[in-house]
Amino acid sequence: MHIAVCVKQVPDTANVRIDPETNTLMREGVESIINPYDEYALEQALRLRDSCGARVTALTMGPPQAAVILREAMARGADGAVLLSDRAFAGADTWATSYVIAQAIKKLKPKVDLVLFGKQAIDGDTAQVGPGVSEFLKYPLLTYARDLQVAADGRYTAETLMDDGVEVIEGELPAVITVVKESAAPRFAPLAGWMATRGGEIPSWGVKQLKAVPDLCGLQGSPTRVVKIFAPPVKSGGTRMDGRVQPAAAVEAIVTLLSRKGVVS
Amino acid sequence: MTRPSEPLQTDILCVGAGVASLSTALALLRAHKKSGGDRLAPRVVILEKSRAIGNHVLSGSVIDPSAFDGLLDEEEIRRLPYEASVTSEAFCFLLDARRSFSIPWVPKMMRAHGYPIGSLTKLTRYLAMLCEAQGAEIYCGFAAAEWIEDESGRITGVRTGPRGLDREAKPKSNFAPPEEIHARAVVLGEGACGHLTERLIDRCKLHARRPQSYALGIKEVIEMPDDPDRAGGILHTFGHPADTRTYGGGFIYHVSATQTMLGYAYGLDYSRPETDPHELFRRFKTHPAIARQIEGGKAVAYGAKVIPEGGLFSVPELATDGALIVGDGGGLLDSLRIKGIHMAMQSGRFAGEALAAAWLADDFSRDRLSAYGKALRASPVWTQLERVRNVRAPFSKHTVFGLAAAGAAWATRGALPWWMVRMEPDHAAMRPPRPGRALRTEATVETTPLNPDRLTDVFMSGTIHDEDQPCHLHILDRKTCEECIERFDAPCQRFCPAEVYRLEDGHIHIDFSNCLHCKTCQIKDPYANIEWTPPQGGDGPRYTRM
Amino acid sequence: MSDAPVSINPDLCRGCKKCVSACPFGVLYMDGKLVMLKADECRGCLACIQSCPFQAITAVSSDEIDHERLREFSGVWVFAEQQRGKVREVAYELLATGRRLADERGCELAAVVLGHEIGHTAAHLIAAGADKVILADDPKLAEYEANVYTDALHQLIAGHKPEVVLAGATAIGRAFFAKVAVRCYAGLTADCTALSIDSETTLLHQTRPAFGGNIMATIMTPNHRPQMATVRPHVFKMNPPDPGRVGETLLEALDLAPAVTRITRTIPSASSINIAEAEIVVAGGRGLKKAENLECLRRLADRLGGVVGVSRACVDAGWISAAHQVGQTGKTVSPKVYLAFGISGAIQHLEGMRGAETIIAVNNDPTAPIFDVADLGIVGDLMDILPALADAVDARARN
Repeated sequence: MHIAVCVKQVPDTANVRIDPETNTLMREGVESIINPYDEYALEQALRLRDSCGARVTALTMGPPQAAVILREAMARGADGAVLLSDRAFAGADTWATSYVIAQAIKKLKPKVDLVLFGKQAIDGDTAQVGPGVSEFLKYPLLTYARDLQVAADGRYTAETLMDDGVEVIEGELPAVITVVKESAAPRFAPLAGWMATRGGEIPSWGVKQLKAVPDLCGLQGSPTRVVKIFAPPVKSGGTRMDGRVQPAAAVEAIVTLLSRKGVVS
Repeated sequence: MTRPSEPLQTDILCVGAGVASLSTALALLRAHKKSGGDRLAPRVVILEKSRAIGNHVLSGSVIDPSAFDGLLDEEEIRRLPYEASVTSEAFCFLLDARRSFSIPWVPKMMRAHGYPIGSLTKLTRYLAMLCEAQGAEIYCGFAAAEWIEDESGRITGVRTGPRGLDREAKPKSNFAPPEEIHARAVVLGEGACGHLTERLIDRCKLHARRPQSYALGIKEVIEMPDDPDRAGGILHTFGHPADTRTYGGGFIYHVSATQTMLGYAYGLDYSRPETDPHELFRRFKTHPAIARQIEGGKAVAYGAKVIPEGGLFSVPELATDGALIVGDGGGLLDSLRIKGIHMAMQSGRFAGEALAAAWLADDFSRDRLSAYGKALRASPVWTQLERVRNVRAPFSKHTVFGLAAAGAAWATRGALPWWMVRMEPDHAAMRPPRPGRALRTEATVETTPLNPDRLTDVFMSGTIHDEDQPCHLHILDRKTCEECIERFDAPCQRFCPAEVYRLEDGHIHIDFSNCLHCKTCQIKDPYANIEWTPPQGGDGPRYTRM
Repeated sequence: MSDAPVSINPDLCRGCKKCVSACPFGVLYMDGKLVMLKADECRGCLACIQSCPFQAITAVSSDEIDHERLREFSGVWVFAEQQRGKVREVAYELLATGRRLADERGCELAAVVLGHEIGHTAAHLIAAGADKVILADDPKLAEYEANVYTDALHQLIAGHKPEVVLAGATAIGRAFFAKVAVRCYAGLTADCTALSIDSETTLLHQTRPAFGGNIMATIMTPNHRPQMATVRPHVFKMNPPDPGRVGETLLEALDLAPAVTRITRTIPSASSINIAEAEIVVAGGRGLKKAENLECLRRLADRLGGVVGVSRACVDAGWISAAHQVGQTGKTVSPKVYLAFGISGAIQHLEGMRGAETIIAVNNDPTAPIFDVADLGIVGDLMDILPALADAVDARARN
């Protein structure tokens, strides 16, 4: 079995702010991290590898410095990694990103049986690239999965977290599966792993290596355009009540608000 | 995942990726290249406990450019990631909460005109990049928990801390056991009051003549309204809100048109248990002479770290069999100017050169490595240390003595006073209030975006610890702790700049997740009853613009 | 589609198949030695033109024709997600917004229902504002399966060419919509918080948060159709139903492949619900004073169908497991309603819950920072309020 895990380098969003005057991103002091959801996808892949044997390849699309998260994936135990990097990929929305990643997965040898993604990336929060790749690959899609098990015949089971409960799903590889955080905690990369990944080259594929169509990559290939970014509106002041004198009135106010929000009838 | 692994091997192992370690690695690899002959370059591995390089470093930072002597070439100095150089400097004595007095000229010993100012995080990352280009390997997220020694007592490597333990120290599903890494020589560049360094000094009897004395340095980065004229201006202060028996001073560095660094250092030899350095820091910011400088700004980053101020008499032996101590961990700091970066880097330079020679001779004994100490003693670093060797201690008696000592040292180029002025260890300096006397507490300063409260400051430090892990701060004896609550009203709840210690229902409760790794608790607990150990690798503050 | 965007010159084609592998949509195929195009499914990406070494493929479309093609798309669609025959609330919310958009564009508003035995939903959807209800009724659509749903919606879009298609950003909507968008070469914007028609370009302006809500972005899809967007539940308000409204119901028979995954078991929420995904969080802090008071909190959470969250103090005190902790070192939650009892609101806690839509806080300290973010802040003893509130909610439920 060959498992491809797609990971993304993202800014630590807790620190990303927008300058309210110029409406530009303030990147000062913002660090890049591996998308937290992707760590769970990688863990699922490594667990499958540990339990039933597989080759795990980590993939990312990004600038050359994004290779650092691939090294981290290899330090944790991935067998190989590929960086998808090309100026032509810049400005890609989820459509064009899905296209490039799918092209890369098609190119991997041996043929990829299972593609894992984190549920979503914390910078864009779209959760669209996993499904998009499944479409380009024509692999069936399963989203919000945890506890993935694969049998020798290529049948798999997983639990998916839906809006009103958990569903136990059965399917057959190949598949594209997105993984939630409510699954096995990601392992730490051991020092031995880091020291072993050193020196090894990580291949970098661009438009040419992928035989991708430049018009479908990057901004050029993206149907959507960001036309404006701005700071979120500041929440206006709420209502204050003194519940020390008349607790009953306070309770009534809460119930009224809850019912307005449709929480109580 | 829990299988015991083979020990890892390297030639030289540095603990801590601060400027001292990085300078060591850089000097070593370059010196080897110059004179190495046939022998392959040593493999140099640097372990860093923070998640990313530069996340645990903290300084002013105005740098004495002698830091780069013999380490960086002209081109590399030109590319240093600095925003400005000092263009104007002032020295100000804060008499009380309102009045101040500007000293008309800055004493030559303290002058910093033309010195680069900027972020130590950026400088550290820059040095790391140069090191990696030379082949050094830096691994972040690994805390060195213990050293390994052979039968003869020679240091042969370190063991990393375990990861993935829960509160009760039971392995979680992602438990990663400690790993051993062996080396011919271990360089301890852990910074002030280093976890391994302090233990090694005890173990190998490397003690200095006088115990180390520290100050707690607290710093904020302030985002300011755009004003290009401000950049390059620096101000040092002395006096208020410190009392007359405590060494306390502040700084304001206008790093760029929109960014100002502001800090306050307070001697940890203070005696009053009610002292709250963070509150002093906040009070300092409200002094008109300071408030004027940061008007219209907003605090955006925060950090705290102890500064080794003991000077020459507190510098331990810096080498033993198989190990070296560099930088702040060795107490290498000019305690008059509170400048340590240049000494850290220069100590790294001499350590690196000594290691290169040791590598060629294939000999890492104490004798061979002592070449490092010799080179350091012959360098300007030592001259500076000698000149100000007695400036710091008299301040713990009274400011007047301190100023007199500084003046004498300046006038005689360090010849006077010629004896070693004594200082007691910081933790022993605390005095309980007289029986029946309550602690004197002052009203706290009003909270504003420019002057946030302590928890907001802690938030801005970015500090984070996995809370499901064993507490890394150990109260050695609970009985002593109760006695301390009784006699001193639990000073830990005040001296900690991160609100880690909380007195609740008569017991001390530890919010270790707030910890900034500053080490104040280990140093200042009046009974020396708190031990700081490294938490899970990768945890701790996340300084990005300090 | 009347005209395919590309034409293949059989005289120049050498049958090298380069274009077949270049086509991201798989609409080129070999017929003997010649390449053929499924003209209806071609999205006009022109990838094949660049791949052909013999210049056998040329673009038919000029800018003129491109605009022509965009103009073929008309109408606003709302995907009305249903489960076991019950349409989710978010669909009605979207119909209210869709109504506004359709009126601005002067076009039709349609609701699309995928499922089996769903005819009864049409009346509700029309009452909520739809001009037309498109029902794809098929046993294969009885249960949600991303791959079958994708086929179904794609076929409907290809057949009707709507200009705008909206869905709720539910577990279902977010997943298969992304597949549909790729198959249609459409633009898709997730989790929109505002939708409007740009008066100048007549394009759909889609506004959404990014970077964990620290930034808002406005997005448009200028040259692709349909313009697709998902919206989180409760972002828009629904209109009161108008039973007098009339509309058309259209039954569509689709040609669907069988499902490739199968649900073997369903575990209903309650036990498994996860605080990070919860709609209602009832949270307590140090102000609870003792572990027993957490029971009160649980009781209220149960009645509201929510989960219990806590600040770090409660976890530290050993009252509850760390899985319930909200904040910087715990979980980040963004529920519809966040009730905070006895939580002062240190920034470390606020960071984990400021994404909540509505915040209700009860605290005895009038200066507690939690009041700065609360929509409703009550100064008072939480033990005066909490039990009474649970009873009041109970009473409402019984009525």
